Amino acid sequence: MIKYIGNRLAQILILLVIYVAVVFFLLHSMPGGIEAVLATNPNLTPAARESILKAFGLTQPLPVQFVLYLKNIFTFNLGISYSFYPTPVWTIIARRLPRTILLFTTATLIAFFVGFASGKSLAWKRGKTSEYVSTVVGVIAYTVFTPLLIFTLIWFFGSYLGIFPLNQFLNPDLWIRTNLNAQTIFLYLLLTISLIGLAMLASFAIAQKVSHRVKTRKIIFYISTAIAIALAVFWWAVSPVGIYGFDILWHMILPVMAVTIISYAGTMLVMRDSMLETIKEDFITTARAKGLPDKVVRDKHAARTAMLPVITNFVLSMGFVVSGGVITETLFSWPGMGMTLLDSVLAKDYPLASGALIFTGIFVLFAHLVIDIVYAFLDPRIRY
Amino acid sequence: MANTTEGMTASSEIFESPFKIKVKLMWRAFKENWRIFSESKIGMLGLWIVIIFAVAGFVVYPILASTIWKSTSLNAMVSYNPVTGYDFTIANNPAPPSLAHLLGTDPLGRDILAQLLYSTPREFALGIIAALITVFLGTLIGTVSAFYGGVVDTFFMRLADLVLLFPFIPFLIVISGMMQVNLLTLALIIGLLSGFGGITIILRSQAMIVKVKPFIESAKVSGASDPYIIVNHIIPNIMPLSFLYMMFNVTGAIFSEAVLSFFGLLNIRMSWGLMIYTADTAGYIVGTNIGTYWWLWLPPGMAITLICGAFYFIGRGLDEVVNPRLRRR
Amino acid sequence: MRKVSMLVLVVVVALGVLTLGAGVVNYAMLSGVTTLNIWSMLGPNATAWNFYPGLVKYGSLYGQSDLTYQVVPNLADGFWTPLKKVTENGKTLYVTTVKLLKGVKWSDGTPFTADDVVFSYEVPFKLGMPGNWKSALDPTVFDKIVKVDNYTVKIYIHKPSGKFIFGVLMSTIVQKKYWEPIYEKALKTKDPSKYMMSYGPVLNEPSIGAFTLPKWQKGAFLEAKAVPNYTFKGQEEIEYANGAIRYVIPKLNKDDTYYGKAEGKIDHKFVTGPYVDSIVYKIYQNQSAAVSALLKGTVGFILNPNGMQKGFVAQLKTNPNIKIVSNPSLGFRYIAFNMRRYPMSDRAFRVAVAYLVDRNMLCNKILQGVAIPLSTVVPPGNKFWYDPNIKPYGAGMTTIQRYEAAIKVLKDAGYTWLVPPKIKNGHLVQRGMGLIAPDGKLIKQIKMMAPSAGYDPMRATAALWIEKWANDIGIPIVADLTSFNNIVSAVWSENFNFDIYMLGWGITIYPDYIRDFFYSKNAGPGGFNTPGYDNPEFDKVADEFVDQTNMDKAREYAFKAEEILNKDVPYVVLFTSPMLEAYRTDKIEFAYTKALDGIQSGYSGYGETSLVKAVEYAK
Repeated sequence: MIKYIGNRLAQILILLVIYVAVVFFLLHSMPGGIEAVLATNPNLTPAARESILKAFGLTQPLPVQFVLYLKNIFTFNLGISYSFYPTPVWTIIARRLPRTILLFTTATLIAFFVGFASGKSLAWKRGKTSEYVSTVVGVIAYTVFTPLLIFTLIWFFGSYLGIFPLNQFLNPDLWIRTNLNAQTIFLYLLLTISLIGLAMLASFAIAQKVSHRVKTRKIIFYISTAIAIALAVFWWAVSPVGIYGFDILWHMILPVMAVTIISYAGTMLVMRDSMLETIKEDFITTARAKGLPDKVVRDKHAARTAMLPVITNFVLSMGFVVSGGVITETLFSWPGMGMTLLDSVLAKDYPLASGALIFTGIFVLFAHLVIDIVYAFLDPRIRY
Repeated sequence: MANTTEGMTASSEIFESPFKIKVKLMWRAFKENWRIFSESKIGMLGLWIVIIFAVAGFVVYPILASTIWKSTSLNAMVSYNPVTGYDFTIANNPAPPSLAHLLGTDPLGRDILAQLLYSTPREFALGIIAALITVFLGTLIGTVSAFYGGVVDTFFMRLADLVLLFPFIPFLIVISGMMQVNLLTLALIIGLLSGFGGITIILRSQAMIVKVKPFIESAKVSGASDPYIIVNHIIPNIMPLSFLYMMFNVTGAIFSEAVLSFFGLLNIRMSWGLMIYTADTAGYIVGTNIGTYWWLWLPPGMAITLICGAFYFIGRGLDEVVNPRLRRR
Repeated sequence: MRKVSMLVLVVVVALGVLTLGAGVVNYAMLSGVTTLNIWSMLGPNATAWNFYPGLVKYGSLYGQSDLTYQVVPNLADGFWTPLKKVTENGKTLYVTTVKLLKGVKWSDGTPFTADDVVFSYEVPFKLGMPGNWKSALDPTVFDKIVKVDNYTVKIYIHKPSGKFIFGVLMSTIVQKKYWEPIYEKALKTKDPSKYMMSYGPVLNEPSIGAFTLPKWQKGAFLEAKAVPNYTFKGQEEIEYANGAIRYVIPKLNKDDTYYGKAEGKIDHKFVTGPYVDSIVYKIYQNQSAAVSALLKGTVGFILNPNGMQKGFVAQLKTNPNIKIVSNPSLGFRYIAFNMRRYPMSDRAFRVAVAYLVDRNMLCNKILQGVAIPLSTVVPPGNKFWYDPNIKPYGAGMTTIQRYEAAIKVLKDAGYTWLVPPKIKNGHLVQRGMGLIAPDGKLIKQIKMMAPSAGYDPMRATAALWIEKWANDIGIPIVADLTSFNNIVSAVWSENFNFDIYMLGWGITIYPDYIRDFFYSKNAGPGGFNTPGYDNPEFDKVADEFVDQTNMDKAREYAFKAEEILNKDVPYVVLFTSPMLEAYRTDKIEFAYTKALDGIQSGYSGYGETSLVKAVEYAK
């Protein structure tokens, strides 16, 4: 097992180097670029333009630039952004990453559970009208043109009903009274969520040990989860920064809703297909023949086996969480990784664009590794 | 194939030629598959939507453009062009739907219906070219990797890993922000990206299953060459699965185009995404404008959803044909 | 959970209401601020978004008056002494003496002295700061600055030039006390200018302007706070119809009048504030969001260097509290001919195309008023520098008259057609085909590169119409709608590989760009003179123009240069876009709304921040 993981790590490292090379040369071989942007600014004399290019390190030959770049990456130095000159790319990513991770992890988790639950029952109700209706609704949600959905959501909930904030990730009128950095609150929120997650995991493990009855296990799990969440809410409620945390969560509702609507259908449809495959397996027929109730067969026997491809999908999409939804972030004024990428591309800021791409790549590679390990544990057919 | 044609010329008078038999068999298989497909309500729904769009784009549009709309053309000697077809008789654009413009006009005074129909064949072309490239590459690489294994296999699978690292839409944004991308290049890029990516892995595993089937072994024993086995035995057996994925890829390509156009990143004269982009940047999709100027965004938005949904539905219908296990007993 | 969120909502709304009213104005911005560090802001990060909040803190010796854009003293006391020629170490230099205002204080109470000025000139010059610093303190103009006493400096330059006034004398001034320790640290690093540029976020930097900038929530908002002891508070700026400007500064007991006598009709009178306690710049990442915020009243005004599109206006008009203003923007869209190639090198050909461009039809009918016709490189709104005597080709003609004029120009120059265009009773009855040059050769396809509709629908449309008009009389122009990048790289990176291209320039009030764009020495690779215009007469006039330090004389030469360009048409200027802006009359009150480049122009260098008032929220 360890040998296998080591092997994979080595492969990943090689893959990473190739990936970096591809990204670097791809971005540098494009026409136009920052030179063109500067050339069209009449306020800059040619000497002034040249001085900026020199500051950007663009006067060196391309291979030299690449070697420098590669060397820097392994020290987590992704270069210096043009449009934020002289801020390091890493600083910009570090500032924006928590925003994206918080928003999209929440949204992906919710979408996953909604999709999982609906996909499960969809497969079971095969052939009924309700299956067609939810399939069609799901496919429409899946294929609806995202910007239009978001515009409509903002208009309906923000302007027409006026119950959710329109935009931005915080309310300036509230935050103006504090010297708190929003990034700190984002990190606290992420920490809270991870702690709740850990608590859930721990309670699950404990429940497995303590009892063999499904019902007791469930009760232990649900109660301890509820306690963890209650504790977290309590901590935020009494803490002086609580209101700022809630403000951010409050601004998250609409974007999370949008992402959930768009992406739950993906999980739902994969889950449905996977369930259909599983239902035909012999052991399900056996379970049914034993006279077990439908719900038990569905939830205990079928769903658990059918979950594997869905989990793969889930981990992969978690890997891509860091790239953020370009559309969602732009339209909700949520300056995270997706917007960073779009803005840097529009501003011809190669270092920032490639930094964002490379960072996403590292995350996805990590997700691949996780999948491999999870499979090694979960699927008895895979042995190394 | 050479053998069969020879056989046909020699014996077509006496027996039914093997070629004819083959065609007959294929026809029978097609009829059987069609029966299964047509039982799927969702698949048929998708097929009808696609047919309606195809007729509208390929037949109705050219007729209307050279007749009814011709008078509002930039120079009246050629047919209507929805990119330059400004209607000067309307004082205030965008104008709501009227008899002259069934779906109204855009902020520059161009006919929305004409733009919608004009873009349809282009969307089809984009989706189908991208999907064809993807499936061609995916099938070829998948089977070759599965059949030969070893270095070839490792190379293509690692390549697929590499391609999978790129976040799809953000990566397309990067590309189109830095080079000139039109519909054809976009189709190429999407086709190549998905062709070397995930689909090869799926088709490879399918080919692995086929590869160990006994008839492959017997073909080998009877002295068939490797390319012959790949082309005549393996590929036909994974073809249905490729076809299924092709349908999903059409959806992906059309959707990507719309997103890129929405950010104004593509260099094309007209498309559904561009129609929404035009309405958005001119400020007609904000606040109550959403309701007031519905004709600017609803038709292209609906078209994107319908076409993407329709190809997905067809895919689902095909799924029933491809996976017998899914069929209702 | 629902109760908690409702509670949060109530508190949030309550706090929001509390902050409104109390002398706060809220602006929406459409893009984040990337830096507040002045070295970086005037270097590689020179974006409008950084300037809006960032420039409130700084001063300069001289500046430009509100609305009339005349050069007036800011931190200097009166005008500079006339340039005197001196010889130092064998170098010929010109020297001027500038007196500084006494009694001006930074927001931290430190008095402003000559040390600040000398520091602010020497540091960027010695470190070779890139970008605007280099343009302002151009090494070919600026030589050195010397402190005479605490309130006098001497500035040495290499040659008299307009850049001396609009660059050197207007260079930004920072506080020495704050920056000196940082500068000393920087000198010890490998790259001192990079160290200076990355220092920050400088939220505690003292201000010599009306506001400090103490709060910056990255990606969300910035807050500028009024300086209580602002030296210029209560200053009266009185602009007379006769061109005279009078400044009365009560705190310094000053009363000066420039450019004539303070008598007759008063055009404008501005009394400097600040009138608000703070300005909040809220960052929205797209225009729809900002417009929604304006509709809701969360912000009073949208700062946007490009103005608004007409759809947003349609939406905003529905709200009675929102007022919409339209101003011409400072810039122009144009087509440039590559005069290195035939037939673009032939003046008759260019004149014919210039005749064909019917700006009135294009802007008012085709583009439905979203563009303002413009035919000169200096827009009429730039009152001082605009030459009212210029008459562009085809002014006042109808489309058909333009066709006739263009055909005549071509015929007179010896061009013929395989199928000549025919005009009967005011209608084109036969399109021209196969234009033949005077030397008997058929003119091949001429490619006109223009941005595609995705980048700019206005220019794409204009290009298609110019193509049509040209084709109607047989000029084989083909519009090539392509990406902005492609045009830029064809023009600048591929050594002027184009026939005709269409782009736009954003310009400045002092029009030294006239020389930059058409000076024969700028026609080399990467230079601004893209048409390759080479006219010794023009070069001479342009040199005279930029070397003048007397602006009245400079204007005479500028007019001459403008007239030469109008006659030779290396560019055909097409139009400029209107600056459409909207603000809430129940939240905000501006000192002026009619200004070249719109209200927002007052926020990047002129006085609007210290003049704006908040309308009280009380009911």
